[in-house]
Amino acid sequence: MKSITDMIVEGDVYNINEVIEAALKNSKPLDVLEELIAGLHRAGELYQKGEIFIIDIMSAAETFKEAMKIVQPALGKAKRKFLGKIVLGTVEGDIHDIGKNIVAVMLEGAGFEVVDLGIDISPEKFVEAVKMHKPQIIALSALITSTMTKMEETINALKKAGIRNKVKIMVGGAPVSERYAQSIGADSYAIDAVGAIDKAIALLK
Amino acid sequence: MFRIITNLMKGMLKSKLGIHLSGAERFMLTSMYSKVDRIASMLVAGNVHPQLIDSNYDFVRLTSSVEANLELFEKLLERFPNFDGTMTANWLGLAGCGQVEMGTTMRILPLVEPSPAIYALDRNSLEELPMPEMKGYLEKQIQLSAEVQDRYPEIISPPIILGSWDLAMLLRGEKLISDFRLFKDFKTSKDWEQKKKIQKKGDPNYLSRLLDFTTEASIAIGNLYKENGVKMLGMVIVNQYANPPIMSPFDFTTYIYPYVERVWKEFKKYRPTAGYMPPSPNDMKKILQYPALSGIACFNNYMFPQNEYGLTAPEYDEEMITYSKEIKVPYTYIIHGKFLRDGTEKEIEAQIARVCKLAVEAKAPLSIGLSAVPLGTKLSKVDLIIEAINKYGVYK
Repeated sequence: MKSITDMIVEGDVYNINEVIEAALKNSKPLDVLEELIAGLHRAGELYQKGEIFIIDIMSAAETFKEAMKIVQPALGKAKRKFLGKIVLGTVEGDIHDIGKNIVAVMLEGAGFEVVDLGIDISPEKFVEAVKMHKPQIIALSALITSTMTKMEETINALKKAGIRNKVKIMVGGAPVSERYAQSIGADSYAIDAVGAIDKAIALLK
Repeated sequence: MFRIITNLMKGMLKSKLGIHLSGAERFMLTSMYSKVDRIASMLVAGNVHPQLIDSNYDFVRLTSSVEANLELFEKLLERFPNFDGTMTANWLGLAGCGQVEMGTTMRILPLVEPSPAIYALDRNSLEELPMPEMKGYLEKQIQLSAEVQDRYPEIISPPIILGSWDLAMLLRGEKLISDFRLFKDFKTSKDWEQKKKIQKKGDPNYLSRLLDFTTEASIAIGNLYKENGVKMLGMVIVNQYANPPIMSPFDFTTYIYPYVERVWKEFKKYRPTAGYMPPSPNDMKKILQYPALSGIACFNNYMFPQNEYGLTAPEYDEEMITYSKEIKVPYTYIIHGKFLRDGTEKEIEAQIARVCKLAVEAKAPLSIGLSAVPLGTKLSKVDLIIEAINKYGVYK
């Protein structure tokens, strides 16, 4: 029989529910959660090594989310201790969300409380979200070079609202680079979803 | 066509006699893996952000007017007269691929490349979708292709059409990935219980029905190009959404390639290439065994792993250049837009010098091209690329 960790890596969304239900009869919900998270980590590592691809990691993410529908209520009082809170979204003008969705699930699996604002998010909406959710980190995604400029506008909007120093800013997406992140005054740049976890953890220190 | 063949013959003769080649001659000879005087340079016009050339041209204007594209192309040629090959003179991008005429709505903003906003299959069933017709953006795209071939006969400008997978992506969006997963899991499962569970999640045969439809649609689009005066020789069939990191080369060749080959076979007499960009030289060697994928459109570093500055793995270039000698297909080294935009002039020159040295020492024809010139790029860096090729890329 496959382990829960393997089922996440393989994206076995068809059988995960019954396996999780069985596991919860014999194990603590937090232990089951650990196995799910280990699967997501493993999938992320394989993606970074080029051994699996976006299609596979999306299946892993979908399977994790499916499993969490059962694990989350079972956690009950034994609530997860989150590492921190992240607000993320794709910047204004950009309606791509595959990469952002993968990052959201990976961060959630890594222990962050994630508030996903969605796509085409204006600087003003990011400002409102920071005021409302009070995250430690805000993560901005862009897939098109011509929408990247909205990252800088978002940072400027946070400055204007007087809350720039209350939140760390992480940026990512295909056209973004380390140097671009520095040039617009972001605190961190993540090359991919697994990189985003490491960078987010580093930002909390 | 006649002009291209004449130029090619002239170029071969000049190369033999050691006479300086024109840019078009150098580009064509390099494409055919013939001896040339120096490394060829290539610019994909449609990937230069229009605002960098002239602020009067934005995507709203460019997707509404064939003439606007031709005007901007002329301005681009004036600004960058020294590239050996300058092609794809259109800024319609994803708007002109045919899916809009089948029901997908695009979002077209002045400064942002057109993207799909509502997919045809979100509103209609597959059975309701029409085959593409000569209207709308597709008509503009075809008219533009014919016009460019007519006005610039010395420029290689084959038609570029979307293949079965990419067309399906533009009709179905991200849901295509779930369709693929269901299809693959059902096909590879040997256990009937498991197959039943897969069927509960969705229809595992939907993908093959959709790809059958888009294969026919892709062929229909190719025929519209042909019937409306576009010269088809060297046409390119693109499936960029099937490239890594989206899908593994194994999945692509096993499940998607048969559809790609159907389109390729339909136009075989025009010597088409189905563009596919593998993630490493090893994958490249496997990919090039497939007849539809064996052309120049695949042989580049576009999808090789990148570092945080947008530079692809330098260790792969030597292997690719050595391999290019074996199979007599020129390697194209592509500079990614973000490296061009964010790299310093010194760093860009160093990369050009490095790749040129490898090709010059190996006496292997090579092209150097730009994947994109994004907003925020200093155009002097584009000029620098030509200067650096002239400085380091001359064959002895």
